[in-house]
Amino acid sequence: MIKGIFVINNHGKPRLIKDFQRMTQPEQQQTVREIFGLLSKRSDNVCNFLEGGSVTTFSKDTKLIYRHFATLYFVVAADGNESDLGLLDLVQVFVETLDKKFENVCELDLIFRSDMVHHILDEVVMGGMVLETSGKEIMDAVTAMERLELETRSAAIKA
Amino acid sequence: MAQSLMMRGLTNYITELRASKNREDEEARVDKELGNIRAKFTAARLSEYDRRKYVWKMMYTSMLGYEVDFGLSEVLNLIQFPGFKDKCVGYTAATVLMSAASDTMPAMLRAMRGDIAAADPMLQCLALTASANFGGSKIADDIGDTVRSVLFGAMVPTAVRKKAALVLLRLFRVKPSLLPVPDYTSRLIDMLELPTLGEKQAVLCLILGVLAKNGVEHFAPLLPRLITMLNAVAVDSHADPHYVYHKVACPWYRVRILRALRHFPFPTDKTVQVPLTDVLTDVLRGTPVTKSLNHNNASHAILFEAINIVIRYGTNGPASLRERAVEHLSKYVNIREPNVRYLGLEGLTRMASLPGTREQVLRQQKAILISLKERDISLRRRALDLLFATCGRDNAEEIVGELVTHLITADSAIRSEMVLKIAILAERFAPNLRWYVDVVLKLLAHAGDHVSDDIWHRAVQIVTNNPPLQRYAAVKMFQAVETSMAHETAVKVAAYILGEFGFLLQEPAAGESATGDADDATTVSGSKQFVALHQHFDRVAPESRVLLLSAYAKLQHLYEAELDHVLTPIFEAHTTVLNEELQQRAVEYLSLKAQSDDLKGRVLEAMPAFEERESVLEARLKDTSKTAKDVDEWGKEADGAAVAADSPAASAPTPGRAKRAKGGAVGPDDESSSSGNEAEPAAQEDEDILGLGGDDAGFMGGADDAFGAAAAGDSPNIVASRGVPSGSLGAVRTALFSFLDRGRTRAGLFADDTVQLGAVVEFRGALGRLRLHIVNKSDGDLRNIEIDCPGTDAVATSIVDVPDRVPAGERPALEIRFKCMRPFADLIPITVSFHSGPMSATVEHSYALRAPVFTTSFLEAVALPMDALKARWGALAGEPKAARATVPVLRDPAAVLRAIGAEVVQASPEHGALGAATFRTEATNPDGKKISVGCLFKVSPQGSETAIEVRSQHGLVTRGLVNSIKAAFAHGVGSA
Repeated sequence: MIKGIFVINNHGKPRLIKDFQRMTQPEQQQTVREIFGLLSKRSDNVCNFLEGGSVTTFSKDTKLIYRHFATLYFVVAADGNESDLGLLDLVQVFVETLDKKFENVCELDLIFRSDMVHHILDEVVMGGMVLETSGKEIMDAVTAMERLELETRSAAIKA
Repeated sequence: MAQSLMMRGLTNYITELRASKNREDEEARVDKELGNIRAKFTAARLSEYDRRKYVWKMMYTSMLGYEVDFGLSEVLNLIQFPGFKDKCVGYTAATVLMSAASDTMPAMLRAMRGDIAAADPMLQCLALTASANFGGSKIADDIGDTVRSVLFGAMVPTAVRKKAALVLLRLFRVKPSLLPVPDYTSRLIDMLELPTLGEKQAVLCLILGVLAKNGVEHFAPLLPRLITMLNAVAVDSHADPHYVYHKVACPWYRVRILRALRHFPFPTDKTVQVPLTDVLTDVLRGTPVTKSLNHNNASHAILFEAINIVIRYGTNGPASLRERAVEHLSKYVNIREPNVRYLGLEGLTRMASLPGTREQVLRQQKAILISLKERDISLRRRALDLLFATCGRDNAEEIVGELVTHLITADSAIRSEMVLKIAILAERFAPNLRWYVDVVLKLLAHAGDHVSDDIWHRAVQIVTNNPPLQRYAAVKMFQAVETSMAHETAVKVAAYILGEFGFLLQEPAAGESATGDADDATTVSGSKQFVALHQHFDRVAPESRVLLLSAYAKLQHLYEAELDHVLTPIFEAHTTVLNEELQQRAVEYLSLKAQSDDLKGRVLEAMPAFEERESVLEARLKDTSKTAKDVDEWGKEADGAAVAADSPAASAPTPGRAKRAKGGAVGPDDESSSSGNEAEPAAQEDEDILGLGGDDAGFMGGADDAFGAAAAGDSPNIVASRGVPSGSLGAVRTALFSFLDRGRTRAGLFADDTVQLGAVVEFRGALGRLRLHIVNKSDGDLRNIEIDCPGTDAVATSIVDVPDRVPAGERPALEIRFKCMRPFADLIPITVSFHSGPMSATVEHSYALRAPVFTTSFLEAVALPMDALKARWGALAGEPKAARATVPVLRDPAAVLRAIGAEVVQASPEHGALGAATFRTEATNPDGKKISVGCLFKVSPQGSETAIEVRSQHGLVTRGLVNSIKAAFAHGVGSA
């Protein structure tokens, strides 16, 4: 199961925290700090897996699966029951979807449109489980939500 | 379009925060904003727009690390509004800001349940997502049933069904009763027919969760189905184009199918075997490593899942698949692309545990050593694991040598792990013990900081238990601390070893200890040893100084003339130091000087070997096994009225029954007998009442076999096995028997550095309850927890609330219930097993203990008049109803009776004590009354010892009581 998904910038600032272990807020911050401490030491041409058992809030069997894009680290923390490469692909799908949505996504999009980022991620991973892997399906779901958001509250909602 | 949704106030706030020059600026801005929001929330009117805006501001602020501890009722308001927009923000905010303990939780759950059952799929989706992100048992109790009926409902939109499946999985994990097997098995399998790939994936995910929890027992029809599904994608290649990922057809779907397949053992049915082998062969045909990273990842994700299945099948699967898998992995450990290399190393590690593959894996040793020296810590760790897994007696010197060499230059991130693994390998595969000592010395020299207490304690233990090694170890430790640069850990080990075995250095080696080595001729005087040790005294920590003081005391005893004048002042100086421990030692050692030589000798004599056995107990158990033939009269016991029914005829042996009792190991169900067997021989042969768990059993001998057996289990990543170390057996026994004092209800049964097992007991009549606390002392999860307490035909057991994992620092309790059905004299085995450490390097723990349940546990005090007691006493003469034990003189003869739960009928220090009790069982006689056995006790002082006589209607009860009383005295219970 996926324990959390974190987007952290090159200075260690969190840009998205999605935690499925129900940590307290200080624990989340500590987790971000510790993950960044581990990842920032790594160069870009090493492998995308790292043991995350040393992170205080994670159990020993935790693995960090991450990608580094420009100014952002996209990190998935998972236990041993997930396919490592599968999760790496999932990060790619998530980023590709953000890219489609924001047309060349950059850090500012994540900062100012964290609502949209949350919505997209909710369509990819839910409660620590992979929900959808098709970029098109994810976009369809997000667009449907967006359309509803634009309608006035009084309008009858029919799907 | 997207930009139009931005809330201006929110954007401004974020912009201002980003413009903060420093953290103080930012804090000031946050404080101001939170104050503002608080004020707005208390104002009379607040538009929905503003409410949403403020809640988003709160979420953003929280992500930056500021505490936001108000406004949950506004979040709840948003959820309760009918509008989609409000609910959308409300649910997202709830998962970010609300804790399960929040007051608003019940109201939120009500709203959530309503939305999940709503007719509007968009609302259903929102509430389902939130409930999945929340998880937890509260949600499972409250909305689990609703989610399940949504999942299995007719005409459910795809988006809703997908989400419902995953929510149900999350809730099923905390509440398995939501999907009882086999009730839902066929419905789950049928859902794999759903039209969209998204739904199929979600249902597969749910099925995987159920298989992980319940096994494949009721899922036989799933296996052929999975094969068909895999063929449909892989062979027919008419996959949904939306699921083609970088030119790979639906990789996640295929990974999930393969994961589900992995739960099944290799089928024996040929009609399944053949298509399964075909489809796996097809996947294992492999894919070239291309330039596209994403394509590589996806195609290899599938391949590695197939390899995992092959590893899971082990030698039961077709050899052709195994060869193919090893071939792939061997190739991968040699390639440059780090992700595939990483997984290749990981796969080979698991592969190496299969019989017959080790040789093939060893061929890659050169490549593995290259990875060990990589810059990337992830690759180094995997390489280390793999070397560890392939190390054997034949290549131990080479591999350990490589690891030690690398240790010198390795960075600190991996050194502790390396030190531990080197120490384990050196112990497990040492060609000779001197080599082992040499390796430990190298560890101390190159990585002293990383040699943890348990590693050097273990080394000391091995030296202590192997006399021919002691002199060599003493020479080496002396040499190690002769230099002023010695590491503190080396000083500690030297203090211990020289304190114990330094005297061997007076003369050259002789006999068994001599191997013709140059070191054999080395002799070192006591004062030289002292000087070598003492040069470090001022720079080491107090706990190390304590060890040094103990070593000095031993040296002083041996070399009194030579060292007295130097050592006495040192002890004197330390009688006034602030450190209590140091002070106490100094005072003790000084006062010891004044004692008789005999006492000194006893206090300071060499430590006994760690593998001590309690010969007293052994003898006792041998004693009891002699009478094992004349049981078992049970079933003829007359009456429930305790002591009242004591007709002599009642104890006539019944042959039929006796057979059943003796066949204890062949219980009514085979399962319990197979697990009981392990403990049985120990009890029968009276070797060791605790059974020798742990890795001491065969150091240098059978240790690797024991490890091999563990590694061949389900989990191929097991790197070590732990049990009760023989050095702890004494403590374990003492803890166990401390429960003979009925006043004692709690004690620690066992502890090592990973776990502490605490017991709380409660007995009432023939029923008992043991709450077993599993305290996780490690810093990771304890997984796959299994408690094996099969019971005997005298004491039935049932186990409830076994957690499947224990997170670090937690201490959940499970409960074992005991029901006494007939007399017994043996102890009840209880085995606690689990896994710790990372999945890739799992340590398997299995502690064979005994339950703190004795004949005395089921005793109830009986107030019997003196004359009635005397009359019965006479009626119960002769073996096996009567038996006696002698124990040391007692200050209070009645104390022992009270301790085991008997009523003291009469007591005086001169004449001893008389007591009565009744042994309760749940068995019933033909009249439906519960059977009990009356028991009488007599404690009489007899000069230099005390005799304790036990009489009961039932020989086995008598024996059980005598055993208990003896054990109580051996462990200091009731002797006060």
